[in-house]
Amino acid sequence: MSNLIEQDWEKDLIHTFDLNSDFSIKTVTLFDQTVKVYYLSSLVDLTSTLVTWDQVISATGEDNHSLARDLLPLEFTVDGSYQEVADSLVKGKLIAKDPKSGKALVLDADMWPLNRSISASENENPLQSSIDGFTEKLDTNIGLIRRRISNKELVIESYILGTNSHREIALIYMKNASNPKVVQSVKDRLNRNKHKDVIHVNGLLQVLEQPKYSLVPTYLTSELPGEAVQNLLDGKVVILMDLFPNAYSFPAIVKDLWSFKLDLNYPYLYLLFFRCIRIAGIAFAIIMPGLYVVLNSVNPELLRIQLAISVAKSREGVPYPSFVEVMLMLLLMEMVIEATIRLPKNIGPTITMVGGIILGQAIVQARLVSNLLIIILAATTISNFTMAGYLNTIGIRIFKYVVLVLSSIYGILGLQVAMIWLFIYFAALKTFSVPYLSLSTKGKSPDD
Amino acid sequence: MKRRIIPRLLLAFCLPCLLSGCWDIKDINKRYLPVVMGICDGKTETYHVTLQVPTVTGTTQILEQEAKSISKALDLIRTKSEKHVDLLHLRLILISEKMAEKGIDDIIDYAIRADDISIKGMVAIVTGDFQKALHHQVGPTPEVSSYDYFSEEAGWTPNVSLVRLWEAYKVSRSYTQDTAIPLVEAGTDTLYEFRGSAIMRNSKMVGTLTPDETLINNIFSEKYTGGTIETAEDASILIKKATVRHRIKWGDSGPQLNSKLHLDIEVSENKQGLSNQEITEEIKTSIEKRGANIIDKLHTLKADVLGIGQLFKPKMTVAQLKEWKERWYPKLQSKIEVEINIRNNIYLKDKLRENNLRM
Amino acid sequence: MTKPMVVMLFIQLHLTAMLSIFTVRILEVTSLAHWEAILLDCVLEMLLVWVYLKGLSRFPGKNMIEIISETTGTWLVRLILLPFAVFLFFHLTLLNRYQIFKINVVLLQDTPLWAITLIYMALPLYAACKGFSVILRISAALFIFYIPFVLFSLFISAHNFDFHNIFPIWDPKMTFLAQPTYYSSLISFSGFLFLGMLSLDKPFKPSRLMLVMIILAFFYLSTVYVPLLIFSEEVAITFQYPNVLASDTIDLEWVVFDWLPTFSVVSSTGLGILEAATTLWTATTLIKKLFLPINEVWIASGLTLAMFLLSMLVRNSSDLNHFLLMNSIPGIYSMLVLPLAVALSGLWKRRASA
Repeated sequence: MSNLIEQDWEKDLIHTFDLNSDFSIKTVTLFDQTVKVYYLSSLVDLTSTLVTWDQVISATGEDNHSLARDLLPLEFTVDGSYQEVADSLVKGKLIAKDPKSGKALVLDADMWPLNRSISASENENPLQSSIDGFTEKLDTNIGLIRRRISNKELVIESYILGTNSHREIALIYMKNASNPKVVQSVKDRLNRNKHKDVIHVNGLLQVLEQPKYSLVPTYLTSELPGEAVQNLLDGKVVILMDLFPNAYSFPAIVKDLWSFKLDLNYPYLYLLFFRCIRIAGIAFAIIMPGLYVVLNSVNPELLRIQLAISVAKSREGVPYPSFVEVMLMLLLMEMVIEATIRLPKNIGPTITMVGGIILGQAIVQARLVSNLLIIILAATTISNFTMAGYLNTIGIRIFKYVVLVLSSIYGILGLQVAMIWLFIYFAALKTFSVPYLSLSTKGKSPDD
Repeated sequence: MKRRIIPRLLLAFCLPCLLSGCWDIKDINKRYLPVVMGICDGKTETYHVTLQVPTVTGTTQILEQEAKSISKALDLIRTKSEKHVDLLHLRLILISEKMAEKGIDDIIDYAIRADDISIKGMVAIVTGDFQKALHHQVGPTPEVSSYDYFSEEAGWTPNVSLVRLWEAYKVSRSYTQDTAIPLVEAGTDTLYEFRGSAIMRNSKMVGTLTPDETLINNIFSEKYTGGTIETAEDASILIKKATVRHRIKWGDSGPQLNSKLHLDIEVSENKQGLSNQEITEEIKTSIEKRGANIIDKLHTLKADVLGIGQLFKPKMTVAQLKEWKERWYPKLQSKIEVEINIRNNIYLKDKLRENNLRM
Repeated sequence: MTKPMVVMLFIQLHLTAMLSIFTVRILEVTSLAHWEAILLDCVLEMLLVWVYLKGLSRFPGKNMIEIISETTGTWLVRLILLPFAVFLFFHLTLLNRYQIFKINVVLLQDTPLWAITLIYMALPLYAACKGFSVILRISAALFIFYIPFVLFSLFISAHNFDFHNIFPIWDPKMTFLAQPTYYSSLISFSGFLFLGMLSLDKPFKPSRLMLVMIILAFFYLSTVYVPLLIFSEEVAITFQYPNVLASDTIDLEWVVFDWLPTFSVVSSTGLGILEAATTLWTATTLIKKLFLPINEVWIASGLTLAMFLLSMLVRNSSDLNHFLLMNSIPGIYSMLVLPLAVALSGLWKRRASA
């Protein structure tokens, strides 16, 4: 009987997965037949699967084997091709051996609940709006978006990327709002680079052929379905990746540096106020350290005399040139930020306290830096985080060093040159044919 | 890919070159920032330059040097000083009276030409003991009090004349204007005592105006930022607003000027209980008389401090413009008429009605 | 490439020109009735722009080089446009040099000129390599950021205006016409030449641009009259940078910063970078299309290098003035010949088709 003879695919399967402790081979009774099943016990809940099948079978009546078989969640039968069987196995399918033909039957099984349920978003704090966040399950995430846009113009396309490991992604856009050129070029790139494995976001960016070095991100991420939905309505293309609780909206434009989509939940005047503050924050974050050096050492004539004297007073006894002083403190600040970001919530305050005391008190008292610099530093850091989107803040954090270096060489001229350089960079930046310096992504882009 | 590497390498190579030369970097605590520069005759050389540097401790440091030229003197100061001397914040240039009589053209020219001196700095002439005025330190004054004395936002009052460097430079070259530079002396309880203004004619000091005359002069030039006190006999008034209307005519004999001065005033003191009418009359005659006096004085000195030539610009040809100070200004016939409007008596009522009632 | 952006660039190119040598030139040319000289310039430019745009409107989607070569042939067009290329090259070199002298005097006294030149030329090169649409976008961004600064630094000193200095207001003889310097002031109006390089599908309507130019005429007047009203003619003429000094005459406590001429210099040099980028792009495109069909990046880099070396040779400001005067010859040639050549080609085309 074929049941007893080991088929080729079985041998290969056992050979490949032998080392895995969660690889299980069981013999179960199915339709009154003994069937050998292969599965990964870490993914598949066999008991619950069998119970489900039994229910299905008993509901339709006994003895009607062929019918019952139709009802089983049979995905496909494979004869002999080991590769597909193995792929299905790692995805959490149940492989049953057809007792008659000896072929592999790939069956959909009940999986252990490895998903988080929908909960409040972890990394973003929405105010005055719904708080549910995306989860790691793609279908849930799509559902979250679908529920918010009951519009037949919404298109959700699904792609499976990768050759060795498969990753399911969903491409979502509004047919009436998005720029067809953008949608088309996203699709082209997805199709062209289908074979690439995507493990992390960087992989996705490579598939989408985004620039490797880019000061500002060419996409927006958000954990909040509300943000993603508003991005969709604004004409952006949203990509959801399985197992990532974030929506990636392409392309980002300069406006996204200061506008949260959830601002729209506020009265218009307040929205304007928030955005003005954020724009000022960006300007502060970029300019302040550079300006400090400019005023301190290159163009002190810009300071009023009273201020000049008090600045000089605060720097009295500081041994370094102001450039070194600023650089030192900025680096220290970056380290504090870096150190606190991923620490457990109960250690974080320690770092904050130590950082605060060291930066705020001791270093000034030791005459290593001036008090004014501490104020500048605090202002820079705070204003940096007023920006919309965590990713955006990092680009600005990096760019302020460019400003710093140029302004310590060329003074106020260097500051302005750095700013113009930023403008040129932004002006030259294009994502999917949408210039970064455009104010809307809706419909047809304001072509160049 | 290869093509991109070359420019990047070049760029990377350039950066250290640039970093090696931060040419203009000089930290603010390593600079002296003088606020006042005093220039007088030296004992042996042409110029004696004194710099007043406010220090971080709140006192004033004095740096001085003598040399044949101002920039040389500054150079010598730089050589001997512990920090770099930066004139960027120089706000006041004090010139000794003797120097001013010889002419301040050279000083003004230097100050305008220098790229580190702001042309909005002020000029004043020191009468009396020059060294005392500069070395003078009054106890609880802030670091920059000499500057504050002239600052329109701080201690300036309308009877002090105010001349900025660019104005001094302008009038020294102008065909149609002269100016009056404030005249100060070392004070007793404050830094400076105001002594009127020096009448400059072609950048030479030719005479003085008393503080009262300076006030009238300021009223005529409409340099007004607020109230001031002017005493009439037994009554004081506050001038709230002064406007001047000039009517010009170019007759056969030369320029003729009719000025109508309109003053809005408030009565602030009234010892004898004069009526507004009487006060008006009194002030009118007093100002008219003083105005005429000043104009006479300026006329004889041939100094067009009031800038009357400017008024005649529309009527003159280029040739006439150039001759204004020498030929036409002395020929000027002018008349002043004063109109007074008493706005109010502050919290009290006008005495007029009271008198009427009594009658 | 939208029209408002082109207009913004157009305005900014003119602002740069007027904030650099224009004021000094006009003050040098005549001692009275400066407005006559300025407005004459403006009217002349309006006329030329009108002719230029009329000519261009006959050839939608084509640039000036293609238009002229269509009627004249390759070699003749090279000959006609050679002075234009020369003008662009020297214009760029000299104006950069002018800005650098100004920066050196006002902002960075100790920094060597080559270092300032290096940074000042790097940015236009970067922008020019990115192409014209990028320059347009930069101009839109800079427009928002710089126009307030320009207006601020230009009119900040309004408090010190003495309107009597406007007189003498009338010069019946127009003596300035006899001065060669006057004609060199004309190159401050050359900012319209880039319009020919755009290959617009829908050409500009001249009337709309005329409105812009009337506003610009007001700015041209004010750049000259601001120092004039403050200092009076006989004094303003002694200054190398009258506008910079004019902004230094006032002490404003409410401005956080003290040294107000910095704003003047910063805004004019910032706009200068934009102008340099546009000019460099125009020159690069011209050379690529007519003489050397290689990658723009190489041409632009070559030009920049040549300009860098050449500008090092201009050692003092009197040399600079001399060269500027000389360069006004090809400048005026291109301002006159380009519009006319384009307009004549238009006529030619119509006659040929009729």
